[in-house]
This record gives sequence, C-alpha cells and structure tokens, in this order.
Amino acid sequence: MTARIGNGRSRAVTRRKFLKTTGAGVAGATLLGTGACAGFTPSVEGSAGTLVFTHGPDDSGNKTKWIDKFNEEQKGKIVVEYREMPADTGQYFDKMRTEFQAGGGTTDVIGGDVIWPAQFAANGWIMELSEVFTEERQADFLEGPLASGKFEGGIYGVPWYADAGMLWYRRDLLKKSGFDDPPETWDELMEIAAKVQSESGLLYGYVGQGSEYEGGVCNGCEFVWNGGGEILDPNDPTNIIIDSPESLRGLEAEALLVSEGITPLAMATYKETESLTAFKNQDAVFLRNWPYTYAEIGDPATGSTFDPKTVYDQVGVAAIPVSETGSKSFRCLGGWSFLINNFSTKKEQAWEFIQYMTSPEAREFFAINESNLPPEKSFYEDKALLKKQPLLEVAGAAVAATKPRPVHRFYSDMSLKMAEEYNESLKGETEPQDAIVTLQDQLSRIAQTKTG
Amino acid sequence: MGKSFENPWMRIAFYGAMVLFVLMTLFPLYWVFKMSIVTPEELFKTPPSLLPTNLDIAPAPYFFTAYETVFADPDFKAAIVNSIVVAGITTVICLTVGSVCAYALARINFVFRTPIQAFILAISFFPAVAIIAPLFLQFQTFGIIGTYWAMIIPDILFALPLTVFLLLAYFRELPAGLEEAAKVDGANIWQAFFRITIPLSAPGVVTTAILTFIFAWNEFLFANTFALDITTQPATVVIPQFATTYTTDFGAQAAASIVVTLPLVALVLIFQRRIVSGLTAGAVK
Amino acid sequence: MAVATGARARKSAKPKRAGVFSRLKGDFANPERRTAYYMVAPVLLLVLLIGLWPVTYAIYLSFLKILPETAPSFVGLQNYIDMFSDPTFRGAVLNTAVFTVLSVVLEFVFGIGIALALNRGFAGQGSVRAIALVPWAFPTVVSAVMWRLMYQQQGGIMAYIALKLNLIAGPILASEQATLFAAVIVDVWKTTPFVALLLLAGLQVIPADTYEAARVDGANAWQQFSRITLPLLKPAIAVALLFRTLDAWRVYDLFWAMSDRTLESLSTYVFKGVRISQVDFSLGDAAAVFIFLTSLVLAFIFLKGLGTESSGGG
Repeated sequence: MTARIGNGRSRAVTRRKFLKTTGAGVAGATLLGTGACAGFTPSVEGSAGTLVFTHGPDDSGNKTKWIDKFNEEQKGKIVVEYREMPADTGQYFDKMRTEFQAGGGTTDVIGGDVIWPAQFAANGWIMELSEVFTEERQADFLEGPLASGKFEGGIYGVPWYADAGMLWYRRDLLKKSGFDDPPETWDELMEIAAKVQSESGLLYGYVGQGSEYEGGVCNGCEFVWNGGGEILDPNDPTNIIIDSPESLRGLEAEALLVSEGITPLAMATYKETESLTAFKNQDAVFLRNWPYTYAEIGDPATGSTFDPKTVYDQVGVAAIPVSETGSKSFRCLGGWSFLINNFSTKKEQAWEFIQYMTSPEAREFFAINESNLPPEKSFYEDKALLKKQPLLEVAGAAVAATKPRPVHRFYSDMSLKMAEEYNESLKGETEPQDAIVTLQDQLSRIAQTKTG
Repeated sequence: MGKSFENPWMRIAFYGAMVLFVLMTLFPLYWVFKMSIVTPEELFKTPPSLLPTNLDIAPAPYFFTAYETVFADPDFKAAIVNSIVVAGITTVICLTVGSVCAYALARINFVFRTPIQAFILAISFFPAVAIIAPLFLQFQTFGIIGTYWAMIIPDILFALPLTVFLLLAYFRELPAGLEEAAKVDGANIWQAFFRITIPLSAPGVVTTAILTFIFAWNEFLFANTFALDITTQPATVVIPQFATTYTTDFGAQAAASIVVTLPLVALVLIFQRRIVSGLTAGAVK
Repeated sequence: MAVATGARARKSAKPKRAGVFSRLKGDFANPERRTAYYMVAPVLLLVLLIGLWPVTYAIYLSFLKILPETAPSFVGLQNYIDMFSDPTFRGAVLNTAVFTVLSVVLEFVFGIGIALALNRGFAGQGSVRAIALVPWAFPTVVSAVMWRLMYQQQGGIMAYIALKLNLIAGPILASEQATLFAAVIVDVWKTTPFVALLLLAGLQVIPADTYEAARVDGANAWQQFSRITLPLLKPAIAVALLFRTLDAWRVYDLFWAMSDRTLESLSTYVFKGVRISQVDFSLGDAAAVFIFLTSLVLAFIFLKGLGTESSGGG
C-alpha cells in the first residue's frame, strides 16, 4: 500500500495549514457555543420571576401540589421551581454548603433542616429575617421549633413543620398481654417488650434508627437526654458536658436493648425506612419514629400490612421512655424551616412564597395529608382540625417537650462524631463509657475551635 | 484448541471450575436484574428466593414498574446526558493530545523519551484524593465549580496515561516502514502521522477511545466533589442517591443500575477482543 | 555465558554516550526530534497544570491551619501530629491496609488460576473470556450499589447465604469487619478479570517448547508451574501487583457507595475532612499528602523489585 501524500511540499503545507486553522476554528466555535449551554457555565439564576425552592424528594406529591397552586394563583408573576435535593439530610447540607462556598449558588428559598440555621447564619449565608418575621408573628410559634432558627440574637428561619421523636406501640398486643399503659421507663419497656414478643410471636421488641447518619444522632441524643444528661451546656455554647453518669446510663440503656435481644443488631443499619417497614410488616412491638408514621401505617399503598380501619385502635403513640422514673421525657426536635439565601436577588418574592407556605390553609393541608406537625400553637387547639387529624392531640404535648440538638456553627462536625460513636455503642463495638469519653473529647475540640 | 486432559476427573473438575466461575461472575447481574422486576414485598422477603415469584400480581404485572420510574425520572435522563457529555469531551481531548504525544514517544528517539514515558505512567499511580482540596480552591477562584469543566479537567489528567499508553502500543505495532516511505516522498512528521499512522491504526484508536470513554464514564470522586446539582451530575453520582425522603426505592435503584450498565456491558462484549489485546499490550509493554 | 560475553563485548564496543545537554542541543537541531518535543508538550503541560501544581499546593496547604472565616496560619507539622492522633485516621489506615492486602492476594490467586485456564485453551474459552470482562465494565459505584443491595439484611441474597453458612451472626453491614470483607469480595469480583488478563498476556509470551522440554525431562505440573511459569511471569506479576496495590490503596468509590459513607478508608477520610467537615479541612489535606507520599514509596519499592528482576533476568 503506497501512501499518497500530494505532489510536493508546498501543497502539503497549504493543506496542513488549512486543516490546522479549520480545526482550531471548529474547536473554538464549539467551546464558545457550548459555553452557553447549561453545564458549561455555573448555573445561572432562574430567569426573572423564577424562584428556586429546594427541599428533599416529594414522595407523596403533596408539596408539589401545593406549590403548583401557588404558581397558578401568582399567574406568572412568580414561578416557583421546586428543585429536589438528596433525601439524606447530611448530603443535602453538604450540597448547600458547597454552593455557598462556591459563590452563593442559585437557590432563593431553602427548605432547610432545623439544625442548619446556626451553621449557615454564622457564615452570613442566610438572610436575617426580623424585619419581616415580626415579634408578634413569632409569638404564634412553639418555642422549640422557633428557637432552632435563632442565632446570636437574630432570627433566620421560619418553621415549616416540626418533627418530634415518638414512641409508637402495639396497643392491642400490649392489652392482650395485660398491659394497659405504655412504658414510662426503659426498664418497663424491656419487660413489656419481652413478654409481648414471646406471647404474640413478633420478631422485634423495639426498633429505631441506629445507622451512622443524622437520624442515628437523633436517636442517640434522645437516650442521652432521657437518661438525664446534656450535651451542650445551656449557659455556655463552647462547653461540652456530655461526660456524665446520666448520659452514660442513657447510652447503656440503648446498648442493653440490643444485648438483651429486644432490639436486633440490624438496628445499627436502620434508617427511617427500614425501621418503619419492620413496624408496618407487624414485626415490631415498639417503634421510635417521626410523626409521619401516622399517615403511613394507615396507607396500604406504602406497603403497610395494617387494616386502615383498625390500625389507629391497634397502634398507640407515647412519649420516649426515660431512664429514671418520673423524670421529664425529651423528644429530639426535628423538622424543617424556610431559609432565604442571602445571595438571592428575589428576597421579596421569597418572603411572599414563605408566607404562602406558612399560611393557615397550608398548615391544615400538610397536617391532614402528610401528618406534618404545624409549629404554631393555635393549631393544637383547633377542635375541627383535631377531628380531621387525630395525631395532633398527642403531638401537641410531644412538640412542647422537644429538645434541639446542639446549636453551634460547627454542628455538622459534631454530628459526624456523634453519629459514629452512637452507632458503635449501639453495636457493642465500643463500650458506652468509651463512647462518651471520646465524644466529650472530640466535641469539646470542635466546640472550642477558634475562628475569626 | 487446547490440549485434552489425560484424566477424565481432571476434565470434569476443570470444566466445573469454569462453570462456577462464569456463574459467580454473572450472578450479581442476574440478581440485580431480578430485583428490578419484582414487587417491593418480594424485594424484602426473607429468605430471598432465587427465582422471581409473584410476577403476575393483580391488577397488572409489576415487571416494568421500576423501569418506568427510572425512565420517567427527568433526573435520571439528565444524569445520562451529563455522563455522555463529560466522558465524551474527556475522550476527545485525551485522544487529541494523547495521540500526538504517543506518536512522538513511539517513533522519535529523543533525549527525554524514556523519562517522559515513565512520568506519564506514574500519573496512573497518583492518588486522586490528594488534589481535591487544591482543585476545589482553584476552581472556586475561577468560578467553575458546578460546571462540566470541573469534572472534565481532573478526568483528563487521569485518563491520559491510559490513552497515551494504549496508543503507544498500537503505534509501535505498526511497521515503521510505511512512514519511512512517506518521509522519503517528502512528507514531514506531522503528515506522516495524520495521513498514515492514524488511518492505519484506526481500530486501535477506536479501542482506545472506547476504553477512555468507559474510564471517564466510571469516574466518581470528582463528579461527587464538583457536580452540585442535576444539571451536571453524571449517572455515577445519581444512582446511589435513588432514594426518597423516608423510603428507599430499591427496585428503582436496581433498575437504574441495570440501565446504566447494560450499554457498557454490551460495548465491552462487542469489542472484547480488541479490548483484551489493548489492555494486555498496553500493560505489558 | 556466551550471551553475557557477547553483551559485554557489545557494550564495550559502543561509543561513549554524549552528555545530556549536548544531546539536547542535537535534538533541537534535528527538525524531526524537535517536533517530538512539541508533540509531547500539550500532555506534559496538562499534567503539570492539573496534577503537579495542585499536589504542590496541597503539600503547602498541609502546613497551614485552614478554618472558615479565618486567615490561614502556619502550624508546621501540627496537622500531621493531629492526624496521627485521630483514632478515625488510624482506623482508616488499618481498613485500607487490610483491604489492600486481602484483595490483591485474592485477585492474584484467582487471577493466576483463570489465566492458566485460558492459556491452556478449552472449548468455549472465547465466551468465558468475554464473560470475565463483564464485571470490569461496571462503574465501581454501580457495582458497589448492586452488591450493597445483595448484602442487605432484608431480602439480600448474600446476607442469606452468609447466615446459612453461619459466617455471621448479625447483619453484614452492621459490622465494620464484615463490611470490610464484603468490600474485598466486591473488589475481587470486579478486578480479578483484569489481573487475569494481564497475567494471561505474560503467559502467552512463554514459548510452549519450554514446557515440552520440561515435560520430556520428567517435570510434573507443579514443577512446571513453579520452576518455569512463575519465574518467567515475574515481570507481568510485578506490573499487575503494582497497579493493583496502588489502586487498592486509593480505594474510595467502593467504600463510599457500599457502606453508605460509614466504612472509612484513607481516601474517604480525606474527602470527609476536605469536603464535608468544617473544622477538619487541614487534617484531610494532611492525609491527602500522606496518601501521595506512601503511594510514591510503594511505587518505588515495586519498581525497584521490578528493576532488579528484569536486569537479573538478562
């Protein structure tokens, strides 16, 4: 095979030059052209009038429904774009933080976890709201959820819905075994669970969320608090006081559940899904989970094996047990608030959207359809609403007894350490005593990190 | 064909071992496929059954439900597009600069040839995590975090050794005589490269392109670090996230895995002969 | 003997090599060799910009304390001290080391077996070789997710098998040890084909006559393997070992996706410190430099071993 190049150098040079220049031209044009495409430039803000709202995935479709209603009523003046974020709150947080660090990002309204306001506010990433979120309006709200949005004297978040850890239990099975009331202490729970388990043949006595993630931190903190311990000194946010006999007995109670066989070791891999599935399959006597459980156990479409007509007689809800009889039961405060991105150029529209989402109609809609707990006091006294959503009767007391996780600008680092240690203590890979000492050490280091 | 076994027992053992190997290799693929077509109840059934039961559950067969979820999900489609864009551009850039470099290393005996070869090889040993911190800060300054470039740039770095060495092996296999003849005819080295080497080694170039593409497609670390939302996130980032707030749709996750992997598997199977010779040639030489 | 003398004779017959600089000058004088430099320049430039410069910057950063909203301050080796005292880091090193040793050893054992089988030739070998490539086509993250689904307590086939075989009492993913072994299995599944192919290439270079001669001399299969195959395969083994060890040392995707971020490797430690934590950025960066330096050391050790082998082999 002979190669034909061309006749002589001069022609070849021209051809080469031609190839070179056109090649460069095409490359340049492509790059410039693609520069305009999404993905080659940092995401540009939504066009005028588009408000970007971020939150986790919308399983039931209710949030989308409500937002669509808003868009309709606005008739094009404001269009809210619901941008779905990762389901895992830790990942969602990382994403938001990266966006802020990269220059502000493109979201306007953030449906943020209650543990975020302090962390974002400390860096000046979210807008301080006291101008629009007046003191009078604030007074409508329950203490716990409202406090989660406060930081250094300012208010940064408008509570959307509150979550509180609750103990769900098989009222019918307890009655069958001779127990009229739910347990008040962990010892009582173990006693009841053991009896009911053997008599009714259920697989598990107690399940909760024990995986190494934020939900695991909630569970672990509940054990610590209900043992009588504290993590962050309420008077001094740089002082960690988790190392106490009370905290220890709390974590020991949790480890005991596993070692006594009331709780499967698998709980160390459970997030909300797995634990709720176990309960919905009628495999567990006790379940620690958030209020949305109420809606799901009555809905066969979610895989619940309960008969919707009888489920609310079969299942009761109670306070999280404590270690010492008579001491106060604390539920971990969860839930979500609306935050406004400080870099947003549409802050007025953002506030309008937030007001819409926190209106009484919105509260009612989400309370009934999602069993989301409204963060405002008045709803727990509304008799008509209570009829439509019976959960609110018990929930009112629950939300009043919530305790927030440590409010600190570096909470996410603390959360990582707590998630790890709680998980190891639960599995029995670390002694509760060692876990507490490690946490005291690590959390103190984080709490005292000097910045500025 | 190969030698026959003297001992019939050896033959049985040998083929038995081969069958076992094939089964173990393909089993995960089968299992995850099964997960993508069965109902949620069966997904969590303990003990799990080897063959799917309950396929025809009223009111309609559940077979395609997970796939419908996956294909209806705009995020999934966007992720696939992102994967294609990032892997595609990486491949094009790597091929362009890498082929020229490989040619020089293959054909021209210049002073630093061996050290440069070793240097490029050394990059493949480079721990990618080591540079995410400085790259993050640099990209922050240039404002490209959350764009395709933030992924393409590191991908180029790590794909280059693969591209260069594969092409190097292919170029070396070509007899130098043709290029020599061209040079005698008056062509310079660029012309020899474009007019002779590239066309002749086209199969090698194609294989290299495929392998580079697959390599960039599979990249996860930088995608996870620099792709902020679905406008840029490729499939490798999206699939582990196939979950909803309080539930995890394992069926959909399985279906998404199958959808993303099948084309790659098909590519690999079609081009397997070339891939094998490319990998082995590149590595051994 | 005869060969060596010949080589020695040839060596002494060669003219003494000119110095580097004069050779460089000669290169630039020659148009063809000069073009070579232009041809490799783009690649080298990219590597410098995307690789070397960031690494240098990372090393520089590791001597500073980086905190949000704070000016960086020079802290010398403090970050490294903190890093080594961090129990999470020590756990990560242990996990990564165990993972590396186990997966590389297993991949070799299985890889050699498969390579020998493929080399021997049998009916359907083409299909087997094609099928063997299938795991390699999966993105690591996807295979991690797939295997995670199989390791699940509820409905996971691997969990079921492990339970039946009495290998483990509780859920696999609840135990750090079990998860580590589970990850090794996934890596072996995914990469053995690659190792097998590398070794196969090395096997195919060995002429069949060598085995014939040995068989005539009365050597049995094991002797053939240990006296002929293994020594001649050493270069291929060394190359494969080098690639696999350094790959395993950097493991990230697999641990991250399979354990849902809970199992710690050196790389996940870096990622968490640099991208997730707010106060531990400097620790993460120090760990990144640590990985870089240890990779260099490992590579050096292997290359030294490879070097002596090939020069010793003649």
